[in-house]
Amino acid sequence: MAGRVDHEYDYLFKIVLIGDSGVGKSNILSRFTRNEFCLESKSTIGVEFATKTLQIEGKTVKAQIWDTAGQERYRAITSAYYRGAVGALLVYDITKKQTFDNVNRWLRELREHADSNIVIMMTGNKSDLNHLRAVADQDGQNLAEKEGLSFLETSALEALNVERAFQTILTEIYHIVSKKALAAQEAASAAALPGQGTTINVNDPSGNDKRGCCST
Amino acid sequence: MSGAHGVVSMAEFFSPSPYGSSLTGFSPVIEASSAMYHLLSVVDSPLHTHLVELGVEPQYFSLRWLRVLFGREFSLEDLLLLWDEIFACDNTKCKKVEAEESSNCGVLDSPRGAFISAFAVSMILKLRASLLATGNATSCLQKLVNFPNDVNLEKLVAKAKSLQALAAEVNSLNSIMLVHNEVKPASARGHSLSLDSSSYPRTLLNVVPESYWEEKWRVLHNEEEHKQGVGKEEVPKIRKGWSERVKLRLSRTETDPPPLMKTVSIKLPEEPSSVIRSLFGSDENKENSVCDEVVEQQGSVEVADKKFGSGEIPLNFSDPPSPIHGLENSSVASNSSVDENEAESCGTHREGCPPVGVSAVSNGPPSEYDIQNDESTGKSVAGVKERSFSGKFLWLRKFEQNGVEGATCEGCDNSCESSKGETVDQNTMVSLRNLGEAMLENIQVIESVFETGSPENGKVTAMSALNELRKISNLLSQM
Repeated sequence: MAGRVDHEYDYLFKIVLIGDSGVGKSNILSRFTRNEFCLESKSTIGVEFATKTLQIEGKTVKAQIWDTAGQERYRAITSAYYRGAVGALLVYDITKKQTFDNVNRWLRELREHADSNIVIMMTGNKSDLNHLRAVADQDGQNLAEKEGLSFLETSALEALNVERAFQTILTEIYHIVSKKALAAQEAASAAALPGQGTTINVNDPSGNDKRGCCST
Repeated sequence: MSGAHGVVSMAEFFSPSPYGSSLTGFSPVIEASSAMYHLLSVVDSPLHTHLVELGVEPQYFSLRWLRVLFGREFSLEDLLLLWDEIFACDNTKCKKVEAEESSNCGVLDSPRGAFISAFAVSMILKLRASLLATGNATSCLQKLVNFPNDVNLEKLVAKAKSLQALAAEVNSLNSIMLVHNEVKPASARGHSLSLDSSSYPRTLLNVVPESYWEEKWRVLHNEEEHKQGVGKEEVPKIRKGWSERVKLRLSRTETDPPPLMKTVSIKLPEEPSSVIRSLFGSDENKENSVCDEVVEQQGSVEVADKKFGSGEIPLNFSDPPSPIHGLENSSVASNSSVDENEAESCGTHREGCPPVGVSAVSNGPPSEYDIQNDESTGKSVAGVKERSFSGKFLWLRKFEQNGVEGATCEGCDNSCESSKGETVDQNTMVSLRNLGEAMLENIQVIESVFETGSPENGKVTAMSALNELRKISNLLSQM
């Protein structure tokens, strides 16, 4: 029943927002999903969730965004957040060098816990605070290039590049997924007709014991 | 709160267990989360199953709830009331549990902890209908984390209080059971992501005070009254008549609450699950009739058996509002063959039962039923069997229990038979059967994809089969 409502999209992508505490992840999220910005936002506890549906190359893509807490104390629990995520938006604060230095730590965490094919986009947030800048734009770009990430400087406050950052990462994911689907389709169409009938008949009676777990 | 010295001390919530006694070795917040889910599984098994199957792990939202003792979920005004309630509870460790070295839920083993756990569960129950209507983990979490701020806090607190005793009992029982009773959680379906979610000892139900279930049912029923209308449009026509009938019964029960009973009767193992089952069905459709009957006839095992024959429960139990996705399909498949043989319709009943104790799938007796089904209905059984697995086993186990205490399975068979002609319209059955067979074919296609283990090739095939299934389910919802 609810299924129909949930299926008003072509693709569903889970994106995690990560980065040090206070870099502005939650505000990036609220800017993107609700076009809101709150100067006095509270620190996230655990994780918060938001969804937004947008069009990518004619397809309806629903992004489920998990905004994780950056605080160290939640670390033990956060690793589970990466399960099923196809994209990660790694945020640092251009006015705080430390948050940029920690990018490597976050990348390591992603490699340890997330899918190896996860699409990562790095964003240097708070670009409106140019007078307090501690990380040069070029430094960000260099690191992104070295690590093979997409990169943008954003400002949740000025709504600069936020939409674009999500659009970029989602488009990239979409390309990967649709390419995979295409490959799968081709492989399937090559094997489908002869394979279909036999597999059912052969496997069905013998598969009883397996069903308990397969039906999950 | 008595500083960091009580049992519930938020300051230590993120350090590895301060009690050193934890079996799991996880941080207290995870233990507390699993204790909370555990309570939920006892209170509202279908909802619990739904959440577990979607992969909604408790710590995703309970971390936020517990970390600041619900401070983010309510207005300050409400919060102060709630905190008064919380801090008024004693925070010393329960004696019973103290003796047990390996408590699983140490963090909540105090009256205060029990209250917190109970309150969290009452919050989840508040969102019950909307959670059950959501087939997506993130959407569920979104609802849980953005708790509505127009709630009546007093009601939540009242409900939490009604659950508090049970919470304490469940906590301590859980720890004792875990030591004495190594029940393997065989929740075959879904990722059993949460630590404890589906692994509570199956004997637990027997120990829950009977009065609790009555009370629980009434509390929940009251709540359902408010939730009426949610998803009502999508309820298939067949059931409309039912719900009307049932509503009458409900009002009757409500005005005439049965006396609490403390006697330990033979029926004990049966009743709690019956009530759960009715809660399960009660979702949007108000199929509480079973409950009604159980409550009124505080009799013996036969009562339970008769119920199946009364034609009130059958078939529809596992229809779309079912929290379990698979059941949605399978129920139709089994409906379709109800008139073919009685074993089959028995299966339907069993299936309608929520997989309370999904454990013990490896039990012996169940296979008999499968074989029986196989012989009598041939291929159309396969799909049914697959999906109704958990429910079936539970029933069988219960029948076993009954058998030990004097009742037999025959009773069930007879009653199943009697339910046949009564409620089921022949024409509907024919079309349902066709639909069921169509669904089964698609299910088999998907199964074959799984079994051949070639996701690349099979994906498209599976997708098209899924699409077919979706079409059928749409069709069924519109009937």
